Amino acid sequence: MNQIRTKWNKLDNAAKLFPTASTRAETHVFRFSCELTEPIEPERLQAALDETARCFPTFGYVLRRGVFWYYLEESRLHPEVMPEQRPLCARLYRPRAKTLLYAVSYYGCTINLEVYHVLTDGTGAMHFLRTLVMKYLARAYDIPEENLGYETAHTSMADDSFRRYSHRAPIKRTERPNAYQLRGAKLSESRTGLIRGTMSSRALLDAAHEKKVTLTAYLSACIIAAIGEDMPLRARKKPVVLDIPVNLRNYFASDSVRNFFTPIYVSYDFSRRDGTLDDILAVVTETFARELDRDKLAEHFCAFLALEENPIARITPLHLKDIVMRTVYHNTIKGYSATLSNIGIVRMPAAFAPYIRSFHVCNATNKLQACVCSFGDRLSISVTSCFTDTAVQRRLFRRLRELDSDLVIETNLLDDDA
Amino acid sequence: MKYCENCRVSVRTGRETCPLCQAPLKGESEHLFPEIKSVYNQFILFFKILLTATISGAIASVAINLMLPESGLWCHYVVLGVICFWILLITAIRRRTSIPRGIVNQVFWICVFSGIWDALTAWHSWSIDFVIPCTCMIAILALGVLGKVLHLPPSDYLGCILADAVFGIVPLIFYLTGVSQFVYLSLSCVAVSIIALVTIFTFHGKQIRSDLARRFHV
Repeated sequence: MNQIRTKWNKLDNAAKLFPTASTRAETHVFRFSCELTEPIEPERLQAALDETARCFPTFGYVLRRGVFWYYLEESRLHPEVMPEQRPLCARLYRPRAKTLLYAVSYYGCTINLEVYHVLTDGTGAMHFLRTLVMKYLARAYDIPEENLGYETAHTSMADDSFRRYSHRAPIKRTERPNAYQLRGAKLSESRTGLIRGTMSSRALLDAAHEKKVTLTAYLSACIIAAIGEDMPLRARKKPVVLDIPVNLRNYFASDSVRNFFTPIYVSYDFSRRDGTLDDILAVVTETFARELDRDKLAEHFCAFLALEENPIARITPLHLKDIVMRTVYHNTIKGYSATLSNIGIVRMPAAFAPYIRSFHVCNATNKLQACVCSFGDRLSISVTSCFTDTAVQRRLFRRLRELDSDLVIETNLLDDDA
Repeated sequence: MKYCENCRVSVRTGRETCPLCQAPLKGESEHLFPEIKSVYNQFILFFKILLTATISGAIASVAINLMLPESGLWCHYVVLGVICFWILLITAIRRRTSIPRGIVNQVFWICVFSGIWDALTAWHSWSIDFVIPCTCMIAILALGVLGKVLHLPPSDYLGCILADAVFGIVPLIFYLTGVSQFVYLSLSCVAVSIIALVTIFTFHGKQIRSDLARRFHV
């Protein structure tokens, strides 16, 4: 007899937008990868994946359409390790298909974990990848497994933390001016081009501390400068806006492996200011000081939650909701030029570290997105973009090259692409 | 590892040129990413041919009909036929990933189209006497059999049987209002639908209720 009760979850507030907004170009799939020192053995990786999947039950859920909302439902699908053969961050969810929302692949020495954003955010995915890598290395080199320092109780992992920390708030209309948009020829087949630089964390931290700012603030300024440098004169009337997702776990205690982030926006107007790195840094620091505040962040996500809890919104059929939410989403994305997400420091137990070369993060985008994480002294800055032109990346990495002469560039672009 | 003298950075790649500045690279190749083959869909050509052929057929029939007005008005049947064909095909393809949902979808469109065609061709009530009851009955039986044979999880097909069975009770209205002239199939369809409803509620009542709670959560 089959199990009577199928477990299911409502989508969390951030995830509600993704299924309607995802397209072939902007898939909302992000990739976490780990480069090891030796080539990957598929059978061993499969065994490690089987065990990891059991530790993260919410990863086995599939996305379904209800009458009023999408929802996640448990499935009996089994994750399979595949050699990397799909385009970077390609679509994982197809409407009405019952497929897992994450995939593990390997190529050479690299293990890739691709995740659909509906399932989790960067923190949850990083827990999963670290566990997978630990279990793989534990098998490969006979090292005892260790505790990776996150809560493993299944109920804490499945917690909807937006709801836990929300209070009643009015629906707020925030009018933000349209931001400057990068334009140009796009890569064929809606592919995502990746150029990433790995450099010494120390060098970048030293540069940031010299200016008395954080690493994220420093990188934000570098990216804004790289975008602004050869903006067409006529486009300068629009500000360059950087969208920075903030991990709310740093402000509200939560062990959830589901989405728990909210974006903040840093806006810089090249028509009114001089565009030097120092001036951009001043604006970035000022914005960070204003926005990165517990109450301010709560206000931000409570306003979104109020939208979701509006009675009229709730009883609108999903087909109609899809159309409305798509419009809302398209208006939102007009408000920023690029995205920067800093996943932070990836920590692995000392026994495993010698077998790991680096960790990387990147995200599908229809603009330009930089994702940053560091492991040991290696900081990885992955810039993904849908455009063939790589001028912004060139200016960004040439600037960073001045801080560390050992900067190494890696890319998935082929000679014909760019 | 390769090196770009222009950007003064090391590049780990199999490329000939620097990804940042397109200057030639020097040094040893390294492959960090596989070369991904084009995902261009080979079926697209087939659909392009089919689309061109059906649209040309429809346009040609309109033209011929206008050239031969004495043959009566018939080209709208061709045009409507082409539209029905494409709606059925597109909805079937879009729901190919879930057979039970595809069946329910096809039942709906077949019933709607048969009604339209019957009305357009001087209403002999063949749609509500034969097509609708038969389609519903076959669908209910097919779903029941498929569910068991393919070992589908109950949540995948019980809801579909439920939808089909509710739809299968509609012929009762035709019977009661006296619209249907050949009542055997309509009544059989109603009977089969009610039996299906009773069966799934008896055996899977809890499952159905939890399915509905999930699907209809607000």
